[in-house]
Amino acid sequence: MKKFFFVVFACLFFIFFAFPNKNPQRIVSLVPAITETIFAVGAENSLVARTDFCTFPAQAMALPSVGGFDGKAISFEKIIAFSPDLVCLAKGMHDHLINPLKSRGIQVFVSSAENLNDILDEIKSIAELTGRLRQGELCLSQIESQIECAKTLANSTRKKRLCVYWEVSAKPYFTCGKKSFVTDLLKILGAENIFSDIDQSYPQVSEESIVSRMPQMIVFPAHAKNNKTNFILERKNWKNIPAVAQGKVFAVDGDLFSRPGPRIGQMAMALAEILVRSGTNP
Amino acid sequence: MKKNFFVAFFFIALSVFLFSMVVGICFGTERIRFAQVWQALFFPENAEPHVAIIVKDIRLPRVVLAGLCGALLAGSGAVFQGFFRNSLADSGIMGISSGATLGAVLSAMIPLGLTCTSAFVQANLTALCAFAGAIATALIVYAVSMFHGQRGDTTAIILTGTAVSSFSSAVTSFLILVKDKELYRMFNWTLGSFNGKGWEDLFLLLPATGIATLLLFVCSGFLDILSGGQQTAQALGLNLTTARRLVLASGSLAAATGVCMGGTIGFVGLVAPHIIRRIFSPKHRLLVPASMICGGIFLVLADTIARSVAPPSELPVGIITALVGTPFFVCLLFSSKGDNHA
Repeated sequence: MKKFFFVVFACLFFIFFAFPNKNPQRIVSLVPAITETIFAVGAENSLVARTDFCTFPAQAMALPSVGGFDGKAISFEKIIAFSPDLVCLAKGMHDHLINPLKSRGIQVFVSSAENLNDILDEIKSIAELTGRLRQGELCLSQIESQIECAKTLANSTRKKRLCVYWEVSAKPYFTCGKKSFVTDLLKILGAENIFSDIDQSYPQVSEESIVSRMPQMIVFPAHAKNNKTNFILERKNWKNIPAVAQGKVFAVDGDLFSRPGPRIGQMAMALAEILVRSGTNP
Repeated sequence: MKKNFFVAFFFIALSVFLFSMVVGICFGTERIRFAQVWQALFFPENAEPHVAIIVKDIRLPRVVLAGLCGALLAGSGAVFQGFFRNSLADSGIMGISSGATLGAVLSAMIPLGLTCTSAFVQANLTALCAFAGAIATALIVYAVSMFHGQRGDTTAIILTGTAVSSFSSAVTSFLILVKDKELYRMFNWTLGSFNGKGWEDLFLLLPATGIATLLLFVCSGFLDILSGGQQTAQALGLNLTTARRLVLASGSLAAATGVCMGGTIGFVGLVAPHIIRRIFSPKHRLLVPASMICGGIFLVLADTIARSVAPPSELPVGIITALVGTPFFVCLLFSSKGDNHA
């Protein structure tokens, strides 16, 4: 009997040390969308630090912060102080941190999601990295069903393809281009971004091209709970644009739409609701 | 004979200025035929509504704004270069560009509730704050330089301007880091752009433009006397303190107005006076107005390129002024054997 227990103990000991848990146990996320993804796949127990901008879900706020989102404002020693084994970074913004982290044996995940497929791929990758494959699949299928639901809702009232102008900011005018997930969502929902011919994700466009492309609906992400549409409806040069003439100018939650993460299904639903409102308004 | 040459030069320069404005109105991100442009300008009731809006309410004010902005920046550059006797002097040297940028960035930090009282203030908050920032910087530079050993001498002003400029840039960088969401807009401000500017912006800055132009012309009269040295100028009966104040006021006001029109557009204030000095005349009475026309032409064409080169996208005009201006300026420096400005 003693021999039997010894063998079992030896086997367990061998398994434990020969195949240690390879999933990261101390994650620092510098990308708000990835912080959301980590929570969405249920790996939040491994998350040890976030940025000031990682404000969703509410539980994330309980974690210590390494500072702002901007790469120049983040202290490298602050990240190291959390003894991370995985750091999630944003491409471009945090490129200068990649090599110093790797040289210290710290794994990095570089987020560069722009379109819908990128977002879904990143959710899958984070699920794999954290060993939460099942939760990852669940999250993806939930997004899929939300998008399907949004599609059905949007197509229920409208037959014709709607031309949409998405105003990221005004004076100068920035919008979403071909590579943006917004363009993908609009397309899925039976609408069309009037600037889907521009390769960049967030190009600067001229006012005359907005006026001449005659959008039938204008959407803008509103920050700081300021969702008044007057500032667009009152633009004199835009009075002939169908969207302005018919009052089809809508605000969406700026925080939600600035994070290409697991709430993409929620974004699709919000857009579908706007499309329905736009379709029912005369 | 010489007078005829000057008259002919101004006539040709003004014709080119007008032609560049016509080019600016005809070209943009949207392809509009000349006949349609003509119809939209002179018979708008017969033109397609959106074409009339693009030509009359988007392109026309923008071209006028770019022309005035170029003229003001070049005028202030010519006056500063003449007064400081420094070839590199422009709105940047007085810290005005960075002061205006700081003002614009600060406008993004003002809570909406504080500006809701006046629709005018709310609509023009960025321009007003930028203008205030530019003027405040000029006043600080002048006030600080007065504490220098030789009260208000040109070296003290240049050094104070450079210091204040660095300080403003540092504060701006800090604020942008803290408020990431405004980064895009402010990044554009630092490169300069007329995107989204219209008649309202033009009318807002028209009084300041008028006063600045008048002051620039007044200054150009006594800058030639000053170029002979301070003692000669005093011997000729010029009140140095008044002259200094007037030069600083005119140059600062012109630069501040120019920066408010299109952001911090580099190169125009530096290049235009140098070109005119080499191909026309170093006399400030002629140099200042000619530089203003040259700056206007340069910026109108640069903005037309910025609007037309990658439709329907636009490039910040500051990129074009540097890309086109640098090789042109270098060629001019190597091809001309004229003396460098003292």
